[in-house]
Amino acid sequence: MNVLEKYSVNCGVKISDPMVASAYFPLKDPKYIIIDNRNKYPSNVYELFFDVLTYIQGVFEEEGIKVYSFNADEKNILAGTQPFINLTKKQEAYLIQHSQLVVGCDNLSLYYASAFNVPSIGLYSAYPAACTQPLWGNNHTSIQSDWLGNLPAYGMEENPKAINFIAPEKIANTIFEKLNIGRRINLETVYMGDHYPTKVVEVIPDFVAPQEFLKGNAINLRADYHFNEERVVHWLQDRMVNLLVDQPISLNLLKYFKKNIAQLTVNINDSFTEEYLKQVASIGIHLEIFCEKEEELADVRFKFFDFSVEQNIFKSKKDLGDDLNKFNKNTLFLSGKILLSEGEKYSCLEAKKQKNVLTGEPEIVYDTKDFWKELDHYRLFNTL
Amino acid sequence: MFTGFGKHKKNLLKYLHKTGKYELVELSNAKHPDEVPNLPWKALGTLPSNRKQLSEIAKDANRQRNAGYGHELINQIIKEEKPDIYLGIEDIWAFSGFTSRPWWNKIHCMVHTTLDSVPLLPESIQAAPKIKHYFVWASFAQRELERVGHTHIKTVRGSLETKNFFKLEDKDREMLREKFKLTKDFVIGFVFRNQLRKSVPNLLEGFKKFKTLHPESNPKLLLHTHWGEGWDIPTLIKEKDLKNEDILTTYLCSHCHEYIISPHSGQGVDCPACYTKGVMHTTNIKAGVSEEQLNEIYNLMDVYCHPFTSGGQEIPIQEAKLTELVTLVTNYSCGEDSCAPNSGGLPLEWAEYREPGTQFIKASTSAASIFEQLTKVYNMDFAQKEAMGKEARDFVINNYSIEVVGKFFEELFDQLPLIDWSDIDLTPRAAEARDPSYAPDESLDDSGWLLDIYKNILKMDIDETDNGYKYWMNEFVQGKKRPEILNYFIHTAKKENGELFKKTLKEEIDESRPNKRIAYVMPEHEEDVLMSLSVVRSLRQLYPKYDIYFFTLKKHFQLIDESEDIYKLCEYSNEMDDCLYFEGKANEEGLFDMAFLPWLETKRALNYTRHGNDKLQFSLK
Repeated sequence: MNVLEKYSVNCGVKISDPMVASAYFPLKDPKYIIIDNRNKYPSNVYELFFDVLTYIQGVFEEEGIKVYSFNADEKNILAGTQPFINLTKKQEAYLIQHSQLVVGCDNLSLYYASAFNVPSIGLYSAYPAACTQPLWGNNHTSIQSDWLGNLPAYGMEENPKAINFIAPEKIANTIFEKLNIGRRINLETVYMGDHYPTKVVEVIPDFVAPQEFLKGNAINLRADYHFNEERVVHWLQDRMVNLLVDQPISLNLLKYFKKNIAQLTVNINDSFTEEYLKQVASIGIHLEIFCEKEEELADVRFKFFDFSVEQNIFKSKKDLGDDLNKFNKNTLFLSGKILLSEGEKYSCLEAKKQKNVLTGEPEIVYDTKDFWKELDHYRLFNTL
Repeated sequence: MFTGFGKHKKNLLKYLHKTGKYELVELSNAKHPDEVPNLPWKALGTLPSNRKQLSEIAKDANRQRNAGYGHELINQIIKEEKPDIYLGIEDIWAFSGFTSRPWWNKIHCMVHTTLDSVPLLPESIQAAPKIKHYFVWASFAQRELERVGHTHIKTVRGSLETKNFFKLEDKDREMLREKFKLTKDFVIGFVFRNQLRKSVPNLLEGFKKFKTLHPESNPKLLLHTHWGEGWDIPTLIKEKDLKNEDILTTYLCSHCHEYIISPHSGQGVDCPACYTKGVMHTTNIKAGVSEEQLNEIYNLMDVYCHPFTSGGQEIPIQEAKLTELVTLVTNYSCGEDSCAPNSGGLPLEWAEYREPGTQFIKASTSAASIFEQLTKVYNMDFAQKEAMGKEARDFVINNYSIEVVGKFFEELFDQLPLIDWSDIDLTPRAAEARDPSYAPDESLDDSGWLLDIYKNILKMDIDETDNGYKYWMNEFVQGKKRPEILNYFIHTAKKENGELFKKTLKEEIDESRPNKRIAYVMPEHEEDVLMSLSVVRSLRQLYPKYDIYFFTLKKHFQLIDESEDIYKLCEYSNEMDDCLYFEGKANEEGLFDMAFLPWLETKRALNYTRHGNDKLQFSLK
C-alpha cells in the first residue's frame, strides 16, 4: 500500500489533487532538469550520478539542456551541475514547476513534480517504490533497486548500499525517454564493486609533487607498491594519510608524523616482529593488519596473538561470482580509484604497470592477478 | 498530607476557608487531576494526565521530578484561575525556575519553605531577591539568609492544630502508664520516621550511659517509629549491649486499631485486644496511630528527646511540647528554636560532619550531652518540670498554632491589593528567551567562559557554588573541550525556548469561532506533510463547516502555509500521539470534535508496506 493511500484510508477520505505553493525564483535557463539527491535516509542517497552525468552531458549540450541540482550543503554538491543550496521549499517548488524533468531519490522534489505534473524519475531502495512513489499526475517513473536479492532495509544502514546497484546507464536512458530524446546508452553494467562509488586517491611514493598538491586531502599512500622513506616523508607533510606498508617503516618517522597518519595498514609477513607492532601501537597510531596469504592466516594470528589480524583485503577474479559468466575479453571497466605514480594518473596498479595513463574513458579489463586485486573499486560493463 | 508541608497546608487552608474571605484553589502536587480528593475548596492536580505526555516526561529525570512539583501545568493553571496570590509551600527546589515564569510577581507571589542546613542551597539564595514574600520555617534559616544580605526574609512556622495535643489529667496519665506497666519507669520518648537523619545510635549511646549511672530510675526508651525501615534498631541494641526490654515501641493493630507499648518482637505480632493473629506492626507511614492515640503516647513519657542531623521543623517536637514535656533537641538547624530560652527545651550539643556529595554541615549529636540533659530532667523537682512544661506548651501555641500562623497570612493577604488581571499579559518576555546564537568570549579562562555562556545563552546568573558550574568545570578537568560544552548549551537553549514559548492546546484554538474543530497531526517528514495536503483537501470537502488545525513541526510550516483548506497551523509536540488528547475522555475536556493522526501507522509503527506487494480492492481517487 502506498503511504498516501494509508493516510487516506485512515482518515476515511479519497485522495484529492493538492494545491501546493511556490515562490518566484528568477530563471536563467529555458530548459533544465533538476537532480535532487537528498534523502532522510543515507541508504537512499545515490552515489553514481557522476556516471549518469557522463552519459547525458554530451547530449544535453546538443539539446541546450542544463542540469541543476538541489544540495543539502556545500560539501555535497553534485559536480558537473548548477548547484542550488539553501533555497526555500517554495523556491525549489518554483524551479521544479518550470523544469523539464526532476530526478530524485524518493524525496520531496518528486512530490512537487508530481503535484505540478512535471515529468519525474524516482530512485527507490530504502522503501519499495510502490510504498512511497507519488500518486498525483501520470508523469512519474520509478526505478527500484533489486536489493541484490535481499529485501528493502526500510531506512536501516546498508553496506554496501543497495541503491548504488541501480545501473547509471538505466537512469540515463530513462532520462532520455522522459525527455523524448531519441538516444540510448548501449551498455550493460555487469559488476559493481562495493567501493566503486567512493572516489579514492592513491599515491605511490615514487615521485614528488608540489607541496600544495592534495594539501589537506586524505590519501592512501602505497608504500607497499614502492618503498622509499624519503618520498613517504614528502607525502606525509600537510596531508592526512592511510599508509600501507609490507615492510617495517621507521618508528621515528611514524612518531614525527603521527598526526598526519590516520592509519597504518600492514600487509603482514615475516619482516615484521611483535615488538615492532607494539612500538607502533605505543606511538598511538591506529593499526590495521591483514594477511594476504590465506593459508598462513592461523599461524600469523598465533604469532601476533595480541593483535587483530584480518583476512586478505584484496580481491580475486573468482569474487566476480555469477557475474563471471558475463565477463568477456571486451568487457570494459571504470575505476573509482585514481592511482598517482611518477606524476601520472592511472586507473589501477595494472594500468600503471602497462603504462596506460588514465583518460577518463573506459578501459578494457586487464585480466591479471594485480588487476583483480582491486575489483572492489571497479564497475565492469559490456557494450550491447 | 502526612508530610510536614502537607499538614501545614491542610491547617492553613482550613483556617483560610473558615474566614470565608477567600476563593481558594489548592494545587495538589504529584497528583493527576482525577486523583485529587474531594475538598471543601477547589483542588487541582498538577501532574498531567495524558499518558503519552507522562512517558515523555519520564525520559528526563529532572523534568519528571519537577513535574511532581507542578512545573508542567502551573502556567496553565495560573492563567486559567487568575489568582491574586500564589503561595508555594514546598521544598525550595520545587520552585526552581518559577521566578522567571511570566506570571511571577505579576500577582502576589510568596514562598513558605524550610531550609535545614548550611551552607544554604544556592537556589535558595539566588531566588531570594525575586521572592518578595519569602518565609522560612526556622529562625536559623532567616539568620543565614540575612547573613548573605537578604533582609526581607521572615520566620513563619509551619502550623500545628494544637487542640489534639495536651497534657492529660494526672489520673488519666497514671492509668495509661499502668496499662503498659510503666508506672515505675522513667520513660524517654522519641517520635520519628525511621530515617538515617534521625540520630538513633547517638540516642541509644546516651541512654546507655544514663541507665548505667541512674539504674534506680529504671529508664525505658520509647522509640515510636517503624522498625522495618531506616536504622536496624535491633542490631544497634545488641551492639550497645542494651537489654531489649528497656527499648520500647508502639505496635498498632491493623484489625481493631488498638495500640500497645512493648519491647520490639518483630512484625506481625498477635493483637491482645482483638486476639487476631499477626496483625500488629510497628507504626509506619501507611498505618499510623490516630492523633488522639499519639497524644496518649506523648503522655506516657517523662521527657522527650529528639536528636537529629538537621531538619525543617520536626513537628513531633512541637507536639511533645504541647503535652508539656521538657524537650531535648539538637541545637542545630530548626532545633535551635526548640531549645532556645523560654522554649521549654534544653539543647543537645553536637559535632559537625559533612554530608557526602552535598557538603552540607550536619550535626552528630553528642551522646554525653544526651546523658547530661536526661540527668538534668531526671533530677528536676516536680514544680520545675511542670513550669518548664507549661513554658513549652505556651511557646508552641504562641508561635506554631494555626491560629497564630493563619492569622499572619490572613492579615498579610488582606493588606495586599487585588490584582487587575485585565492588565496582565502572560506572554513570555522576549528577554527571557535563551540565546542559542550567542558567540562566547573565547579570551576568558574556562571558569569565566562557563559563567559567560550560562549568563548569555541560558540567561542564568550563577556563581562558582552552582552544581551545574561544578559539573562542567569537572568536565574540563576530564578533558572535555569548549565546542562540545557549547553545543550542549546551544541544544539546551533551543529546547528551553521551545518549552518557554510553547502554547497549550487550549491556547492554540480559536474559541471565538462557532465552527467545530478537526485536528490533523503529521509531525514528520516533509514528504508526508506535503502529501497530507490532498488528504486535508478531502477532509475539507467532507466536513465543510469544520476548522482544520494542522499540527506539524514548525520547520514544515512553509510547505503548507498557503493551503486554503487549513484553518490554522500549530506546532507539534510529543504528547500529540493520542487522539483522545484532542478529543477528550471521561471528565477531560475535548477541545476538538475529531482528531486524525494517520502518521501513527506509518511512522510510529510501520504498518502499511508489505514490501509493496499488496493491492486495494477499491479506488481512492
